[in-house]
Amino acid sequence: MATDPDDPGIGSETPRREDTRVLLGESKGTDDIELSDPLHAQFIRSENAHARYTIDAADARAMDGVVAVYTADDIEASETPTPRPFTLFAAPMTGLDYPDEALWQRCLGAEKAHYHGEILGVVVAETQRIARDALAAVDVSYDTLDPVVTPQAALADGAPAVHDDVPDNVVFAGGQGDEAATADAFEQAAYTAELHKDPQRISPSPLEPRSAIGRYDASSGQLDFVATTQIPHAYRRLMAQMLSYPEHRIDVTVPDMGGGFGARQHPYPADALVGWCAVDLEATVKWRSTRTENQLVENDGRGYEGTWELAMDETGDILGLRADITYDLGAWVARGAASLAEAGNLLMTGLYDIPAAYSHVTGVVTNTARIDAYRGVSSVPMIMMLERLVSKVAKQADMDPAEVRKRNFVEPDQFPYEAAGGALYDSGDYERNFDLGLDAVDYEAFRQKQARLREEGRYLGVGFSCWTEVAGLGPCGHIDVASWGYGSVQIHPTGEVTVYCGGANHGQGHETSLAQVAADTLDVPYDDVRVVENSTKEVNEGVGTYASRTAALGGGAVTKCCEKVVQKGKAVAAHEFGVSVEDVTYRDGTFATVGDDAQSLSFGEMASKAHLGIDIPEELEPGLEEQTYYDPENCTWPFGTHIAVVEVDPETGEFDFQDYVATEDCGVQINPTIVEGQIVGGIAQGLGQALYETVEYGDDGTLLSDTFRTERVGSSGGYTLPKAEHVPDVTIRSTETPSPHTPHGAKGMGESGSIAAPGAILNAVEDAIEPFDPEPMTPPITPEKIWRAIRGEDA
Amino acid sequence: MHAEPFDYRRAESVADAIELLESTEDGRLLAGGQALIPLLKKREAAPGTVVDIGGLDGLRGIERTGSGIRIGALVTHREITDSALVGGVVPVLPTVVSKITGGIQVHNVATMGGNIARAHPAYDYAGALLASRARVDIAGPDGERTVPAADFFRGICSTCLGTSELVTGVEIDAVDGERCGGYAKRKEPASGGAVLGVATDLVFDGGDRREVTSARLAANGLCGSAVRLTAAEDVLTGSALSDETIAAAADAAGDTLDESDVLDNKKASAEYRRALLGPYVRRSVGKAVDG
Repeated sequence: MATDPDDPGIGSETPRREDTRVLLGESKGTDDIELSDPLHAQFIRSENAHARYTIDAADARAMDGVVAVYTADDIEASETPTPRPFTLFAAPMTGLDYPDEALWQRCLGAEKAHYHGEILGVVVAETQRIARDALAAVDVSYDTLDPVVTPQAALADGAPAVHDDVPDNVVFAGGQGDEAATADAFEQAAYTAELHKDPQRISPSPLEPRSAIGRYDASSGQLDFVATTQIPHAYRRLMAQMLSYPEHRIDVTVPDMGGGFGARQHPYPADALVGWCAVDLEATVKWRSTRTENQLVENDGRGYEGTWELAMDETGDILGLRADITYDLGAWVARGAASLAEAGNLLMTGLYDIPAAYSHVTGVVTNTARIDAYRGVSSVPMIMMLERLVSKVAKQADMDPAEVRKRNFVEPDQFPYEAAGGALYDSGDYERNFDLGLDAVDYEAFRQKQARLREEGRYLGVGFSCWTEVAGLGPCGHIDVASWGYGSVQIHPTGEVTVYCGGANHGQGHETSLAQVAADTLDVPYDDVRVVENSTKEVNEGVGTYASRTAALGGGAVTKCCEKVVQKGKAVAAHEFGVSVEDVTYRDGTFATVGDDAQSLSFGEMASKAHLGIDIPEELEPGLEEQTYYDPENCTWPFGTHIAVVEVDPETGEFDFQDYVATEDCGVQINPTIVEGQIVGGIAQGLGQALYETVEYGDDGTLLSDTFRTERVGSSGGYTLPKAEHVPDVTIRSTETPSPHTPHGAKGMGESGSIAAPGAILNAVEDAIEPFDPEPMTPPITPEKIWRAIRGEDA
Repeated sequence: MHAEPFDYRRAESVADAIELLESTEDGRLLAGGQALIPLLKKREAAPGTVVDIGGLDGLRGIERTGSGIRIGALVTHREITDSALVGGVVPVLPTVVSKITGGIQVHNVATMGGNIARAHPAYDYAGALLASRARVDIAGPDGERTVPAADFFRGICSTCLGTSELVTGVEIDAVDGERCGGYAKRKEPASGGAVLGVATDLVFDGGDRREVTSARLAANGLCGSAVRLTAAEDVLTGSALSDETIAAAADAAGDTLDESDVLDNKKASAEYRRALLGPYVRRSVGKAVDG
């Protein structure tokens, strides 16, 4: 702890430093960055899902203020090296060992367009207005081909190929777990339950639509980007690869962007093309998309469809879990898509000690936009379906769904626990956490109330969703890319501290939480600590912020740096005191000796000495600066339970939340207020999955859901994001089971809400309408769907 | 997105506005802009001329008339919900207007005239005007005319307005007795419009609020334009209000509906919309009574 016990450190509910600018509308996104007279790029995007095309840009080129119009041929013909395709991660378990180059996404759909919105060319003009008007003047002729818009269509006999080199549209197929043992489990089961209702495809929808600025300085050869990305250092590396440009002459900065949610942990063709145009034109080129354009091309999430099954014996022990999944990848495989399938399979058994499990995933391309990570990623379908099945099989056996869960939880003495899907869970106390939730909703009293009110024609329901996620994605991702956390800490001779972290804060509060970690570990005042992130200019290295990794990996790296600083400080103090290092203590911001001659040196005095470098041990260098590449032994596994209580109106299918409880365990909480914000934000997105959102493509592959609100009568064109008024009040309770793998015990907290909420809400509604014996519903469960389910229709 | 280029003209008077509409082939009126500007931005409307009537003070204001009140076309939603005069004479109107989506920013700028001229089926004003027996004042090249609200709304985004006519105001008569209003709205989560909205305008004989001397109910969002629910009205008028009569009115509500007129789309099927009618009538009447 810091010198003043009230000073913010680990565990403090410190208000976020970011909030002032963010809440007062003073934050700056990429679009807000002031530039002097940049050129403006806009993209010629395919209006068809699958088509050959020709472009006639003569009229556009002739317009006043149009600087260039580039087609694939123009780019090829230019001296500036043609952008290379994006590489893919290998994912051996699903069979994607050496990803076929045919699947590597090109920046332009050169021989044909593969999805509605694919880039066919670029217009660059003096103003954004002219660029947009020039787009309208570009004449694109299409020779349409039959598209495949769903995985079923893609897998059907004789289906058109999205890519000529992949005639069956299958990119990977493989299973994890023990297929034979799982088959046996189902043979022996007293009860089996099956579901074929999947989470629907949805769109992450960050606040700022995708934007990028490429700035090329011919005299220095420097190429700088400002962009909406979660991975500044990886982005630099990828731009270097794709543009055949020296990495050490590229810099990337990320301003506020209002979320990324995983959609921005990958590069996009547009970014590479902005950089390419900047180099080719020797200029600053800016692109910002509209919301419609963003909905069109930013990665979607989910895309899972399949059959999940659960087997249970007559005592209520779950024997096995099986899943056969088709995974819609979109037209191009995003870099990590296959590895996401593997990650989901690792934890397919959730919090339960299920002895046998097997999940087979087939990745399929379709003529739609890319699908990849979106908050919760493949844990969302896996946990949602598992939790629906546990409740379903409990009902079949006439057992209490809470009791079945408690009976099957992994026990505290089983950690580290190897799950049947392959995950190695680090620590947990699932039953204690679950009981906290039961207590918060007063479960027993609820069931009595539920029975009583049913007699009065009122329908209340309770739904559980027990979740875990792989957080702190470091070494266990089975992907062959760098996955450590980078931190460095510089101590100024005054004793003030600058912390550098290789992540990219885009709403998580790193400026606050990482300062708390450093202040706590160094025992210095919180206000003396500044955090620098989001920049390759200012931070030497990094991997990025996604997969709930920064608390564990960034925080871990920062913690280790601070520990090294304290070690060096002790050596400096020992030298000053004339004692050995073992006789030096550091507490409350002061180095001191133990013994009769109680000497002391403040942190600032020590820092000053170290910086000066004169009166320090010979073997030490002057200065006080440490750096860490932190590579933990394992990922971390936060967990918890969400419980939703609802009342459904059978006449209309509408329902209200009576209660929503989230019991969380993310290990040590650096800042409980930030944890709460993450939980509620995730719940809002899980709510969207359960009740509101769907990405909709027409039969011809045209994206229909391209705007947030629509007044077009009769169209489904709106994409329904939940609003503040839709989010229930959430009661949060916590347990803290520290991670044994991170130096500060924090696990990561970003995705619980989006993983747990869909199952909790679906289970609650289905529990409420159970007397009507409804068929299981497919999300989003609108009131009309609930109304139809009550009436015995298949919803 | 940017709008297609257009000429912008600011009308100096109602007559000026009419003349501008007459003399340009594809002119559109601009009041609060809450309907028009999004259409321009998305290029779903591309008028050659935008005629801004925002400066016409003669179209502002809420005033007493001999028989009731007159609301100027440029009166904002905020002015309606703030007006004690409107609340006193025809309580269903501020009740409905308060449920229009958009929050403070939209309510401060959006106008009654713009809302009803747009005549979007998911808009809320129309039901309130039908239920309160409102009349719409119109000015055009052939002079002024007044039509009952039921004749003003002609279908999806369609009114009786000629190409050079504009709404100048709405008149609503006061009634004897104790008048109350309610609005039950099923809000479409993306747009905030009405999947179904039922407006109730009830008049009691006074005092004990038991006998209903007049009941007018109208639904918007149900069909292309707002419709009166005359079967429900017949059950309630002259009745002593009770849970049973309200339930009976709810059951009867759709009896006069032509089922093929009920909107059917991905926001809600016709079957479901129809099924919502009874419960929403019940809620609407309940809200009117409870105040």
